[in-house]
Amino acid sequence: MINVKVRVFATFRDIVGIKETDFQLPSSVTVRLLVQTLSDKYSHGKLEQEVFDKSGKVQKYVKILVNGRDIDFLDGPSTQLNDGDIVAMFPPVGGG
Amino acid sequence: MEISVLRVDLAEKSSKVEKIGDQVLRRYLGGRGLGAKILYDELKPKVDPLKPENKLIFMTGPLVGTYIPTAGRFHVITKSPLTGGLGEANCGGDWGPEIRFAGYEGIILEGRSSEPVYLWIHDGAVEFKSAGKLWGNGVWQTEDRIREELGAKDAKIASIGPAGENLVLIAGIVNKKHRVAARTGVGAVMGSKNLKAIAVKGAKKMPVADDAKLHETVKKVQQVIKENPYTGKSYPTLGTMALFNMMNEPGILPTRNFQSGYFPKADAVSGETLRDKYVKGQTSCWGCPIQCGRVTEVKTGPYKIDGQGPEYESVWALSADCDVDNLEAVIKASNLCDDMGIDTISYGNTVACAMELFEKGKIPKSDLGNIDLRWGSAETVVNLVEMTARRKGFGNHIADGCMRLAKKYGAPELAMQVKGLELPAYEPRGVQGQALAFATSNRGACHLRAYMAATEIMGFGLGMPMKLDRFETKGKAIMTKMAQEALAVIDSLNICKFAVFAIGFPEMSAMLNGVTGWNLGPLDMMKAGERIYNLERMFINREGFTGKDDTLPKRFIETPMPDGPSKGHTVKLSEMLPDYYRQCGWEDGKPNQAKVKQLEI
Repeated sequence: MINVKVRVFATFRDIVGIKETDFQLPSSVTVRLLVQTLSDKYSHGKLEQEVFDKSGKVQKYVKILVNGRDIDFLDGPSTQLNDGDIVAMFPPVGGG
Repeated sequence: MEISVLRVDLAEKSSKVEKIGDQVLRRYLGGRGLGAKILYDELKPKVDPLKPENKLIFMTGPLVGTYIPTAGRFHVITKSPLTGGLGEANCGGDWGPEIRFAGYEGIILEGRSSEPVYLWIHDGAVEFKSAGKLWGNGVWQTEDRIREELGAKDAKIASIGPAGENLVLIAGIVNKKHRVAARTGVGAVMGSKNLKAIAVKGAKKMPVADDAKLHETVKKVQQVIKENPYTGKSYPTLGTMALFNMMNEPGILPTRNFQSGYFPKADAVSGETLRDKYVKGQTSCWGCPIQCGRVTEVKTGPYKIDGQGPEYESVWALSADCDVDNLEAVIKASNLCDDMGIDTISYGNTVACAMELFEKGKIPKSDLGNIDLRWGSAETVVNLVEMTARRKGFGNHIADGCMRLAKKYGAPELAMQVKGLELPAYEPRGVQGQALAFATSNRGACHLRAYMAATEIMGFGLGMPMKLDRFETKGKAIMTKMAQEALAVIDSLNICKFAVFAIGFPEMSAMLNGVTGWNLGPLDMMKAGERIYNLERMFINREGFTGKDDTLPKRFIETPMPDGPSKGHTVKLSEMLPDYYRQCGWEDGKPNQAKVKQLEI
């Protein structure tokens, strides 16, 4: 088993109703499975629909970071998580 | 096509209208481009920016004041007293369109009035009114008092606060009480001319060459803005502060004067916290459907304030950069900066520089009076605003920006600046392209000259989805160059850069042609952007800037990021800069003859 911290931001926070949480998960877990687990537990599956499109790809402009690294530059939703990882999830956010 | 520009001689208290023809307009578009052209042609090299010889130019653009969404901005162009190079700042609010309603594309201010005045431009008249009783007032009171004095409730006013009056080198020009042409010290130039404010009222209808075609384009643009996840949801929901955690999580939120890129206390001052505790409404600039502005209130306590904002850059400068986690103090300080007419980025960055100088034992306590320069002092961040604007006590040192402050205390390497302009809210070591953009920006360190962080963090560039690896250097040179030129076009049209999260050059081209009757395609517009960027570069070259100024504080190049998600990284500027110069056609930071000829400058 591994321990993973998840941080949720902006309107995703409104969907799941939490800022962050710690999960204990099987050692082979991927980002996709983590999002599904979070979504089922805190949003009755709604978060998953906001994060992934129907083909299972991450929605345009949604950002998932593992230890500050965008998963687009790792293995996407198939990125394997390790003990102590921090996952941050953002809907499209602009600023500047 | 021909436009009218108002030229004002403040010494003689006279004005005249001049025409600018189609040939110049097609090449420089308007706004920033046209202002740069006028400044380059008219300003003698090496003039003292705070002497009467400097010129202060306000320029709108061909789309401003029409029914095109977000076309409500103006650009200020001058020689900067902060950097000694190009002084320029873009601004929203409601003042820009009113200049066009009064019949002018822009205003060129020359000379210096012998006593404080403000201008009242209305019904074809230009009046010089005494500002003796307004001198010393904050911007908010100035706006109210001028409207009352003129009996013109709906006059639009751009003014300086005490900071501009006192030649504070980080002073801006404010309109609609909270919208600031902030950067490069343009407010000090206005103060040096003894000009407190420009009040305007007009009623002219904006000329549109092809109304039916433009209506059709605008309808589509409005729809795209509404449906786009940034302009239709993120900005309206959380404003620019949505970005705070987005920049902190990858470790590029500069903390303690850029000693780190991760602020552990971010959540206390984040956009989510601002929304949950202090936001009571939304607001926008003239003609903007995006509504990114926040109306905020701190109801009780020492930082009680009923105001607006603060924006992402302001919150960063006043919180993470100074290690402050008190959001009420940040809201207060940001609003005070608006009222005093101060650039929040340069102010917060300079206070953070002072805190690091103090930490390293460079500032003797005897210089501080009752100011506490320890990291995290919320009181200091609030109290120094007015002291800076009025050049009182230690505020007199903050007033001249971080480069002069750090030099005075013998540690110039602690000034986080490029070409004299304070860095904004992106840690260069975690975003290589943004680092190159800071180093090569004509006006000094600025995210608004090429917003590479959008491409490296947010997944967006040049009006389309685009994501580049933030730690890679490959491909950053050409992308930075194109972004610099694209944003020069946007500032010349004077639409909002946030709209460009939803629309691209095809839409901009259609809107420009609909208004002007021209037939400029996206490539013609990009060439105009390149021309403008190169002309600006030629201006700073003439003032003495060369390739050696296209650099960054050595901290970013020599010291690996000590902690956080960007740990271990430095900026690899030497891997990008030669490629950038090659792409630009520059040698030693200067456009070569072939490039100047090609662009017909």
